[in-house]
Amino acid sequence: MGNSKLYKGSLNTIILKLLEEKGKMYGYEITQKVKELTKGELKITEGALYPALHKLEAEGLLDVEVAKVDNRLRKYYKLTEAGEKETVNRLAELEEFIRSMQNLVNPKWSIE
Amino acid sequence: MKLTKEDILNINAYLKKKDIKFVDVRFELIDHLVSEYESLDNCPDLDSFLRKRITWCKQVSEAKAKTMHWRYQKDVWKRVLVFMKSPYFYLITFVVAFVYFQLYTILSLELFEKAVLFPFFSVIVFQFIFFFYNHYRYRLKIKLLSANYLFNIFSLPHLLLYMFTPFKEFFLEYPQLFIGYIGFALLLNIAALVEVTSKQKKIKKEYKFLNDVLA
Repeated sequence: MGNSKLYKGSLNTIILKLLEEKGKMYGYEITQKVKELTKGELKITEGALYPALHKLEAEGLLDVEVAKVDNRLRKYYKLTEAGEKETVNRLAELEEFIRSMQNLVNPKWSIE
Repeated sequence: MKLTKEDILNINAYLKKKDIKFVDVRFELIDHLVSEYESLDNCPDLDSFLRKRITWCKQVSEAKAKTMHWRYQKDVWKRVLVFMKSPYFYLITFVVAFVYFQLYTILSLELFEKAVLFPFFSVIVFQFIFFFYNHYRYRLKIKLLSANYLFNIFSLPHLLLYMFTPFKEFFLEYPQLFIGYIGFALLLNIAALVEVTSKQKKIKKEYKFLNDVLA
């Protein structure tokens, strides 16, 4: 991937957006989904993903559900009510940011 | 390649050996490691696979401990806010203030000071016993990160309760402010106590669930 720093500030929004679409996901599934959606351009490292998930959980934006899968336990993350509202806000913020960047970088191009 | 129960137990033992000692951290890491290993086309030797991933596993464990600590601190303030939203809080504060005002008018200054310090020391003694009895019992018995950091909830409340001597001269000059300070320190300590008690119940439940499933 070209520059992972550009994605870094958007990690929480990416997580929230994926959970909004999929309902509930576990850590490894999130890393794979992001890889698949970005065609391998963006690889979320585990060292960044789990702290982000734990912070979002601590902020009350995510709820967890533990289930037994094969011979191990799996922790699923899902959005809380506050998380759903926050996702809408953060996506709007991100869209606004992309629009501003487009105006700066390429004024003729539009995401609409 | 599908990993067997024995392989999973080996991963668990490896993480434990590498100082990731809490079950509530380990089980999530185990699931990730197993999922990743099973998805690989050319499965490497499990030991070398784990060795390459132990650095981020430790990072995750340390970051979770920090998050847990700050989450607990935040929860105390949230509990204080809950108190303040309750009409009982104002009723109790009014009654206590009224009683102390009456005592102030009736008693001599020396006796009044003792009356102010009595609830202060009562809370200290009660919390001291509660803290040591529960703290060590919990830390030794329940190997969960959430249990290990539970008593960190008392850090700020205890600091306020025990460390007022640097302001001794100031408080001697303005005793009314000392009453306000004690009141606030007591409120924060009561909030911490309520928070710990309510979290203890959840932690016990979680520990029982994890033990039952992992057994």
